[in-house]
Amino acid sequence: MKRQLKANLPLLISGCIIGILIVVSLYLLRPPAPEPGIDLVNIPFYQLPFGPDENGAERPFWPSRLQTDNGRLVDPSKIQSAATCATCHQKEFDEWAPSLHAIAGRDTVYERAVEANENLHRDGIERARFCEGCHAPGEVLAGRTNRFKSVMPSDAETEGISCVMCHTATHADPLEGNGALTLAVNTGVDQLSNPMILAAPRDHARAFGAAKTNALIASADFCGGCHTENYDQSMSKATTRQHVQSTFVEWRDSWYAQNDITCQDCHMAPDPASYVRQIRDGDIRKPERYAHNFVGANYLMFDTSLGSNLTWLRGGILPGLTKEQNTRLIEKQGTATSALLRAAAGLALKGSHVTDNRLVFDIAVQNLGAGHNLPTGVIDQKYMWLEIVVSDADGSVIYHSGSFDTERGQTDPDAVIWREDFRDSAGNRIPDHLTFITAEITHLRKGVPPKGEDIVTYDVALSGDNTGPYQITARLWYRVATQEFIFNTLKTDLIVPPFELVSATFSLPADKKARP
Amino acid sequence: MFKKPVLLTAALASCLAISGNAFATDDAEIRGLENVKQFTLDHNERLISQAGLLENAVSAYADIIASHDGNYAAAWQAKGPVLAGQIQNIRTLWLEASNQYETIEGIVAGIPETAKYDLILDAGNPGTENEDIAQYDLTLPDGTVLSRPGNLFHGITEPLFWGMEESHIKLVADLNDDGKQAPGEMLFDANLGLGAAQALTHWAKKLHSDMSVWKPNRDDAFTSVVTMTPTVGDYFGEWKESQFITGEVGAFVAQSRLADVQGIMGGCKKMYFNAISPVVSADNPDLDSRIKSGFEELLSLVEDTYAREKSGEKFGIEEADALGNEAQDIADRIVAMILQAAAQNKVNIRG
Amino acid sequence: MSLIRANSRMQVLTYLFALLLGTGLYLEFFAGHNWNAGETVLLFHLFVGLIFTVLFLVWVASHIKQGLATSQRKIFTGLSWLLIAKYILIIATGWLMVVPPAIYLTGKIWFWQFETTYLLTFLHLWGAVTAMIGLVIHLGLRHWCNPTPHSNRGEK
Repeated sequence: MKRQLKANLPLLISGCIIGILIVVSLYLLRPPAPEPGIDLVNIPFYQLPFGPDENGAERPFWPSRLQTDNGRLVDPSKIQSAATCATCHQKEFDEWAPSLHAIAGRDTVYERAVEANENLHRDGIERARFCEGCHAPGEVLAGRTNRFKSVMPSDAETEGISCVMCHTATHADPLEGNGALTLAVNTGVDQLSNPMILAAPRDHARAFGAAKTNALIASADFCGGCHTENYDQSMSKATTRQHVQSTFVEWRDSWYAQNDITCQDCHMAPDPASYVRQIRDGDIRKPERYAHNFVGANYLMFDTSLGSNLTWLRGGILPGLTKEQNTRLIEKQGTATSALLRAAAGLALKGSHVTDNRLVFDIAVQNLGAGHNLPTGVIDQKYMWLEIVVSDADGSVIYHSGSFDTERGQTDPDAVIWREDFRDSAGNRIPDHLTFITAEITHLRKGVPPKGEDIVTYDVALSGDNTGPYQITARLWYRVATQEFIFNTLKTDLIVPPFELVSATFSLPADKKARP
Repeated sequence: MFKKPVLLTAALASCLAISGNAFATDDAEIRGLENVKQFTLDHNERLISQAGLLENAVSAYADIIASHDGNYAAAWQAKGPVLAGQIQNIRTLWLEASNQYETIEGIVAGIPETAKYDLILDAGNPGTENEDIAQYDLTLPDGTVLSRPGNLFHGITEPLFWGMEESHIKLVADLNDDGKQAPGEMLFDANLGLGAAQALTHWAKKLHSDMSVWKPNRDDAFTSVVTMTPTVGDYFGEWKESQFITGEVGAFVAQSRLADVQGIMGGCKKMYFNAISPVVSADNPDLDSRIKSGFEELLSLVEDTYAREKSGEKFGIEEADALGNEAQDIADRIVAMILQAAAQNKVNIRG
Repeated sequence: MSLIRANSRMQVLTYLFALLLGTGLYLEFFAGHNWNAGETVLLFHLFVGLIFTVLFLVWVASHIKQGLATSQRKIFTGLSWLLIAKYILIIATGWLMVVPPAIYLTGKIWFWQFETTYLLTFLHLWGAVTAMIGLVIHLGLRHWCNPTPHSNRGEK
């Protein structure tokens, strides 16, 4: 062997061996790392009113189905705040900050609804883990959804569905729902200092985006963990499972699932409305990137015409944002929300006939762009209705259904309405989202399925004075809250404005079947 | 030679120091506990007083309805503006009474001897439910007896006075005379209203008599502070909304709550410093010091904000919001620390 | 005497390089075991890398002048230059990756695009692995480093 090789090879080998020995020794000699997270017994006065599971294990987050990967609660000081993530991920933060995910746990409408539910039971706060598991997972996992909050607060818990609440997910059960997600928020994250993250950003990315997590959070299954909601005896008066929100199943059974168009494709596209129109045109390529804006249907939370009330409704301004940034981002998101809503629905005249004294016609309400029912989600508050105005040749209105009283905030009770109703044990409608006393869910009319339509027949009486052609103006409206709920829960007379999804006008010859 | 006496002397001295400290602790704690009781009784008395005012207001309303033979439409026709003013007044008085009760709810609910009053006044279910039933019957002025009707504040009077329960609306009326029929613009059932208001006064007095014989202890002191301190958020929230909601969406709560915040938080601070601090500092002086700093910080924030408001300053949304969040955050930290101290001292937090 | 010093310095460099490779491989393949413990290894890697850079640059200049410049075999010479290029690549990519934390310590935030980070890491890691193989081959092939008073040719 060459002399130099003889001289250096032992060094190389010993260097490697010593390097390995150093690492192994450090590993062996260091004090054993404590199991990440907090043991239940270390949270003083933590209430467990719902008892253990069938195996005798405690259920600290029940009735939410949320879990941590190691079963322990989370140290709130270890939960990375989205505002901290923004230090480097500013673009993603700016997309997320105005979203409903960011304010999920703080918006006033939600907060008041939870308080109203909490007041229904002595263990109401603990029962509210059911709500907070999806709306404020950080708070639940830290053990602060408790009558006695012995855990220190942190910024991260006020941020709703923040970065780590998705980027640590390892399991989802979209059929069980009710927050059926497992988060490796104790073990799947790093606590590296900023310069170290900057020195080895791939490690940081790998810590958060383990292959399993990346695959999961790109799937519809992940969304289904929360966008499936069932009421049962664990949190309500229902004696059999009541399907309150079936968004995942609506998607799963649709053309969209068959063509691998997922929730993320539409709701995280940089321009969701354009993407939906692209899909409507038959081009099912994936978006060029996924933004963190989660554009949805709640136009109210982006209605800047509400002025200061919007800030109030949104529960203030998120940590990490200035007033100016907040307004700018909300306006941008509001534009995207309105555009997405307008890309969802269509109206068509399907058939008509006129007799001597009657005008009968069928209006099809079409779901053209949504990969789930229209409307979807928990639709006891969100509802859709059809307004029909028929006028004769003179322009006189001879029929009007579905008007909206802008002064009282009331929809014509005789309108055709797509809404579900919460009912108590006596069968009475609960108008203000009191989950904990809900026994049954009924539907005035179920949502229109993806690429489906719901045909509504109108039968209008004609008088001798009416002459054709008749003009039918149809408008499909959407509203995110009933007035009873706003009044009862928020104690204000704020009128929630409706949103026009689509409108159409049809001219109807008096003596023959019309075609739109 | 001299080691043993020295050791004995040292041991004796340390024993004396410990027992002296213990005596000091007990003494301070006893004084503090008396303060707890006094605080609770004070607020109970204010509750009785507010409930009395509410009863009078509802009685005046009922008188007008009765003077029109129970014909609400006729009463509205003749005395519309008076009735509208009375309903607004009733709502304001209700909020005051409710706030007084909320202040002591934690204690009332936490003491076994008074827990039933929490169910009757604020938290109990009607008899149709299976659990936590408010154990009382409500007799109305017309002689009707409602069996186990549910709690008085949130179960009966709130939905009644705000028109949230359709079956108790006697007449839809344009209370604010703006030509619109908004929710809550109605005349409620005077018979039920008066009966419930009388019951509120009655049960508030019963609570006071049971509370008077209550002997406060360490558990009660801790319970009272950890249940009352977090209410800063609610009060600050109402203040915050009054700063920028009024006039825009017509929120009912339109008065500054900073005076209440200052009073209640001052009471909490006093209770902690007098009754609890001696217990906490004995084992964990660092924790005690951090809790005390927390109270100082909270009171300083409240007093400063209140002083600014009294000097005529109007707060913007962001500032009011930030102040409210800051106050709640401090209160939450204080409570978390006190609960940790309670656990260390094996205190039973009730409620 | 100077030869001994040169050899000692070379052996220190060899040793440091082995440590860097070992810790680097740990960071790439085992850091996931405990991300937070990886921080210590990373700090050690950066510290050793800093010393290695200084020593290497000083040493390689004289090595080229005294050794490589006198090499007479084309393939060996070519491989040797390639090896030096690899080391330069490893050092350069290492330093480029250190730029963001260095800027952070001045109070500003700047970092490479994620794709750039991937490329730098790839070049740094696999450059180091191939450099280790290249170094073994180089040491096995070299022949000028045992000069005797009677010959200017190295050991066969």
